[in-house]
Amino acid sequence: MLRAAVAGVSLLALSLAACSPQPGASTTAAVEAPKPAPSLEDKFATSADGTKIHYVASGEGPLVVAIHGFPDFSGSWTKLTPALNDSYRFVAVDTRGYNLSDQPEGVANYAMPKLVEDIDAVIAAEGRDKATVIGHDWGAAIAWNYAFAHMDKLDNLIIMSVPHPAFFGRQLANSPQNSDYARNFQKEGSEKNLTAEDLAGWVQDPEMKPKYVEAFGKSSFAAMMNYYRANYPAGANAPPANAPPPSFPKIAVPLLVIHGMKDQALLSSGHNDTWEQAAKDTTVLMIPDANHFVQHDAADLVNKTIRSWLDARRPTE
Amino acid sequence: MRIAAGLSLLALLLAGCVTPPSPPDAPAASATARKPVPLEDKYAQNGDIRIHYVASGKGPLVVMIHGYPDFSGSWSLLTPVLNDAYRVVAMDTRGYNLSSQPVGVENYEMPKLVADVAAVIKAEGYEKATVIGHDWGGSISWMFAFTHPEMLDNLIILSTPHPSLFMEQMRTNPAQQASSQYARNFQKEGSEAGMTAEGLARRVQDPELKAKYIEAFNRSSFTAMMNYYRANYPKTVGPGAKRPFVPDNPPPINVPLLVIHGMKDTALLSAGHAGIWEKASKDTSLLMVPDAGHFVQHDKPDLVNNTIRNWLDMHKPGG
Repeated sequence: MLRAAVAGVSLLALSLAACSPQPGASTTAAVEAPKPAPSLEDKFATSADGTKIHYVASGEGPLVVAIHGFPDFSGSWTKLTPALNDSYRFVAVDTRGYNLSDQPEGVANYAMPKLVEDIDAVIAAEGRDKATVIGHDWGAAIAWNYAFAHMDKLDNLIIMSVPHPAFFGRQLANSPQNSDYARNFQKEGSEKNLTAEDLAGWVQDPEMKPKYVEAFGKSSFAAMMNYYRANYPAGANAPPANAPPPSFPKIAVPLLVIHGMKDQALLSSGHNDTWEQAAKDTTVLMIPDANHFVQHDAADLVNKTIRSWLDARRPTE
Repeated sequence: MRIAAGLSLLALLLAGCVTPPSPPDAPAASATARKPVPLEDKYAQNGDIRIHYVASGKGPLVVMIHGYPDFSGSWSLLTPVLNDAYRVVAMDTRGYNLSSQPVGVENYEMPKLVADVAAVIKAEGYEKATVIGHDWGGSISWMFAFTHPEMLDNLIILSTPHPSLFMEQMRTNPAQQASSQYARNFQKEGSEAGMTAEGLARRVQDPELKAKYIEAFNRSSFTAMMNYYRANYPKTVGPGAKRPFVPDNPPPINVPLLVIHGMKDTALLSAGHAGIWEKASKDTSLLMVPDAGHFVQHDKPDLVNNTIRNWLDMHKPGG
C-alpha cells in the first residue's frame, strides 16, 4: 500500500516534470512567474497646433490608444488598463479641454480635424507607426474620424456607443428628441450650468467619483460644450435637407463595436448595418442591461471581450 | 491492478498537461498540436427515430447541428478547437448519413427536428447544452431556444437570421425574396430527382473532406433533404408570407447569443441580422465576415472557430 503510494507519487512527480518545460509551446503566462503590474507613466504629446495632450501610458507591446468622451477623462479606462497592459502598450488620452491636457479657447479649436490630429500626435509621441484605437462617446466619434483620415495607421478599431457617421443622420431623422440634450449644449452659455460634482453624477464607484470630481475641476466646461458646438451634426451643424448622403472610406481593419442597450442618447438601432461600412470582419457586442457608459456598467464583459478580441487580432510588432 | 491504476493516473496527468489553459493569444493552429481527443460514434433515440452523433471530450455539453446539404462532418475543424475543454457533439440530423430517414414530409416538421436535439442532450445525460446551428441547423437551434429555454446554456447561430427577422425580410425585402427562389424550387414535387451525392458535395474544396461528404450523401435521403423545405420553409413571399410552426412573437433569447455570418451568403442576406439584439435579453455578439459565403465555418475556419472558442470560454457554463 505504502509502496503503491510512493510509486504513485514518483509517477506524479515524473509526469509533472515531463509537462512543465513544454518545449515548443508559445509563451504562456501560466508557466512564467507573474510579472508585477506595469507602472503608469504620465506623458505629454504636442499636437499639430501646439496643444499639449496629456496621456497615461503603461505596459509593453502593440500600441492601444483609448479615447474618452463627455463628461469623462483618461480615468475612464482604469479597469481596462490592467486587462491589457501585461501584453500591450496601453495609452489613455485626456482629450483637449479635459484634465491635464491644454484647454485652448474658442469653438474652432475643437473642430474634429484638430481632435484627430491630437491622437496622431500621441501615436507619434509613442514612437509608433500604428495603433489599435478605442473610443467611447466623443472619443468614438474621434476614433471613427481617425480611421477615415489615417486608415493606414490603424491596427484595429474599437468603438463604444457611437454609430458610424454614415448612420448618424438616419438616427437623427428617426429619433430627433434623443438629441435634444446635444442641441442644448450647443447654445451659448450652456457651460454656466455645469459643476464638477454634477458632471460626475453618473459615476457610481465611490473610489472613482472623487477622481472624476478632481479631473473635472481641472477641466474647461466651455471646452466640453465646444465639442458639441463644433461637431455635433444637428442644430447649427445640421446638413442641408437636400444634401446627398455622406460617404466614407470602408473601415479597412477589424472592427469591434460595443453598445449598452439602455443608452438613451445613442440608440442601439444606430448600429444596424455597420458591417456594410467595413471591409474586414465586424463584431457587434450588444449588452441589454448597460447604459451609455458601457465600459463602467458592464466592465467585466466589456474588458474581457476587448482582450480576447484583440488577442485574436494581435498586430505583429 | 496497481500498475493499471498508476497508468491511468499517468494518463490522466498527461492528458492534463498536454492541454494547458491555452494563452489567449494562441493561434488556432495550436488546437491541432493538442493530443487528439478520441471520437465516439453514438446514437440517441427519439421514438422510432435514431439520431447518430459523433461525440468527444469532457466538460460542458456543446451540440452542433448542420444544415443543407451537409452532415456531422461539417464540424470536423471546430471539434478539435473545443473538445479539450467541452463535451462536443456533432449530430447527423434526420434523413442524413447514419441517422434514420423516415418517409413522408410530416416527419421533417420543425417540432420533430427540435425533439431530436433534446433526445441527443438527454442521451448524453445532460440537462443543458450550448447549441450551435448552421443553416437548417440554425433554424432548429432558434426553435430549440424558443421551446426549450431551460435546456440552453448558450446559443450560437451561423448564417440563419432569427425567424422573425427572416420573415420580415421575406415580406418586405425584394433582394431576399429573390434569393429564396431556390427554396421554393426545392419544395416542388420531384425536386430531388436530379440530385447526386457528387453534385451536393461540389462546394467542398478539400479533397479528403470531399470524399467523406460524398460517402455521407450517398447514405442520405435526398427526399428527406427536400422535405425540410417542404415542411418548414415559407411557401410564399410578400406581405402574407408565413412560416409553419414558428410563433409570430417568439420569446426573447434568454441566454448569451453569438451570431456569425458570411456576408457573401447569397441565400441568407446580412440584412436579416440587423437588430437581432432586440430579440435577446442577454448579451448578443454578432460577427460579420465580409469574405465568406454561406458555409462560413468552412470559408473562414480560423476566425470562426477561434471566435466560438473565446466567446464560449467567456460564457462557460458553471465557470
